[in-house]
Amino acid sequence: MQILILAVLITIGSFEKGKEIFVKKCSACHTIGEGKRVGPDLMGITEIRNIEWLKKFINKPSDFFGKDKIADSLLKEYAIKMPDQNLEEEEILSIIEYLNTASKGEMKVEEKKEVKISPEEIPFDKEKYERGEMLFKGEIIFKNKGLPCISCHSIKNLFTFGGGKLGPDLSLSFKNYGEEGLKLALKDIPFPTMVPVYKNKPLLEEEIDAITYFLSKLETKNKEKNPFTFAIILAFLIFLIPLFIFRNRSKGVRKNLLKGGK
Amino acid sequence: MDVRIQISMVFHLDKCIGCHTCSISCKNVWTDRKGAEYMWWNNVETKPGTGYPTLWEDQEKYKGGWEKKDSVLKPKLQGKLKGLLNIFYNPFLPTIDDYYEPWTYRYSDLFDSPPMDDQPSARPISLITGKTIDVESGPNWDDDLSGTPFYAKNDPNLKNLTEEEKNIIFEMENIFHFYLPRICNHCLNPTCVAVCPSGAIYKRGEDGIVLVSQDKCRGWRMCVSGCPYKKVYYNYETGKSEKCILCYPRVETGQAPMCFHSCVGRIRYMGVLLYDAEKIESAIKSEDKDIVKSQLDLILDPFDNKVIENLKKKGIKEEIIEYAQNSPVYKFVKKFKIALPLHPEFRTLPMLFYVPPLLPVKAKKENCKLRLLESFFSEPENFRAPIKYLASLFSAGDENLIKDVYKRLIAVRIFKRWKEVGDLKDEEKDKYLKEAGLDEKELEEIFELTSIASIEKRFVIPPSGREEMIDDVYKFKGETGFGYKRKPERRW
Repeated sequence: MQILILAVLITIGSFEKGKEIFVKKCSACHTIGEGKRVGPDLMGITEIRNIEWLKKFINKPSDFFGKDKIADSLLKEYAIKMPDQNLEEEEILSIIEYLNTASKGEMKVEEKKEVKISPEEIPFDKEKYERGEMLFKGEIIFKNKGLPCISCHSIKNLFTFGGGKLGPDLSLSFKNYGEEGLKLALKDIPFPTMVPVYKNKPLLEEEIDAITYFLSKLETKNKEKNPFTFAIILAFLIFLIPLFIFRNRSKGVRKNLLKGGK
Repeated sequence: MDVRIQISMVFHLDKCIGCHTCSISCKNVWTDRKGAEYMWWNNVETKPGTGYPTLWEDQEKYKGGWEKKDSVLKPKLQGKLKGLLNIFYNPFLPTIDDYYEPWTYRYSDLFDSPPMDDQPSARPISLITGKTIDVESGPNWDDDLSGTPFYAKNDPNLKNLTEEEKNIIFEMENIFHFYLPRICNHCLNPTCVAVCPSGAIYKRGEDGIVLVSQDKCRGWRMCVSGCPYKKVYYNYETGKSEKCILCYPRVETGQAPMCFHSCVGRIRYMGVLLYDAEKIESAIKSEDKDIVKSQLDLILDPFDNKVIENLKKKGIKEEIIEYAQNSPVYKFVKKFKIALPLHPEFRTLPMLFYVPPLLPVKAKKENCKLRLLESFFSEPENFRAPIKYLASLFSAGDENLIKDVYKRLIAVRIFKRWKEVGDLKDEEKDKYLKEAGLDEKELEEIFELTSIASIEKRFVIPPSGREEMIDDVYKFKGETGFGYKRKPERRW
């Protein structure tokens, strides 16, 4: 039955179109046979999942969380909810066709050399890092006038006064997405909330590069002591000094007398 | 010699009946307003007691007054550097609880109460927070020793007494108390002036009244700590310090201050003292045992020609000399030597003097009955209040000074008894007169001054002569007399 439905779907969908949509919308989080990224590797997904389920899930995953066992187990494993995609039915079918074909090996997925670079291995370029940070914080405006990242995102421990709370914390974004994933996500923004924001204001290649670099170095940077945090601790300690010196101040005597003290 | 004028006061403690009329008249005139509710520029304490604010005499806590170290006199509170470091953080202040939290009553509880079996009662509410409070203390909370277990026994002046002596005075047949009315002493060497970082407190040259400039005061509150008598208060509403102004608008017009004028017991005297400002430095540096003597040495004889000459040279009116010669304070303090300063060891040279109280005499138990001692009128040792205790209050611990005062006070009583009742022998009377070092005329004078003096004799206040202090009176036409009209409020 499964095969029958799939066969019908494949006739409707288009492989090329499916590939195009996958690259644009899914590849930031998923791979086919290249391992886990933010989401699972989708190699052979058409075989292990019910096609109807897959169709509905791709369209609107938010309907599944908390109601569907598979969706919940995926959420538990990856700790991030897949966003709703708002795709046309034909587009979904095309994606499924692409997933099915690529998984079976009938269509050769372009060989990609897996390059796993840990953030520590990337040489530190101060200028680039600072540019990325300034772009993130909006101190340098994106060329196409897109909103700075800090409007919606924060980075734990880095910015003393925090950032926006609309989007998730991006401290671990590089770890989750990898360099390629991040760049792809910033180039063809797949997140529904972000899509209208950057629709006519795409980021430039150079901007994407700088922000990715900045996010890649966060883990290393976070290990260093935040000067602001240090300043706050120091200020607090300085505040404690007079409290200690004048610890006997303004302690009334009358109530103490009533208790029998002097 | 540098002769100066000081308006001074004497309170005769034997005559104080603790009616608080003085406090109430002062309150109604000066401190009956927001931010000043807890201030009692004049208050009446019961001694033994911890006073108002609680334990004000304990300078280990409040660091008031001066201390002498290696012949250098410094405010006990702090020097200049420490003053700068502490400027935003004065560490030695009484809390509002040490004064008391001023309160009123929610009278609407009475007016709006529905009919019920019991009478409604009005809840006390804080005048500071407006919330309901449980009243725990007040400015005269230990009145008549009502708070004895907590307050009287913790009187700092009892520290020189042994435990046994302390226990004896709190036995029913020996217990005693007397009232101690207090106002600002308008000291010759005021610590409040010395420790004020803003220079807002000053001592007036013409009469020695100590005042706080409401324009200059920045509310650092060093004066509150610095004054060992705790007679400077912080107004939390205006952010300024306030203190007794000795009702100077009244004094300038020849009237006695409100608390003096309203005193039911007529215990208060006011007059001019002339003192030698050149001797102040040596006086304040003398040892504790000599401090009272040094202070009295400062006071000059208004009949002395040299003093009169010196005053004339300064252009002071001869009329003032006459007032100084008739000053009741001069008579009490210098002529008859029966008035002493309160806690002279604080070295502020207070210009308010107290005639110590004779108090009830001691009794003894005989067959479960109390009987007076036979010689109850003779020996200071037979008084209920221990001389040590009174010495701690009025003579920096010098018991002989208290005994000398008592000899003179007793001599007045013996003399009048001899004269009016006639049950004492001449020899007995002569013996007491000789011990007191006073003749009959002087004793009559003391009697008259302390018992039946008219208002003109109790308050000998010289005219201020404000009109003569201005060269061109027409220049100030329409101004002088209206004074400074800007409302005291925060301006920073």
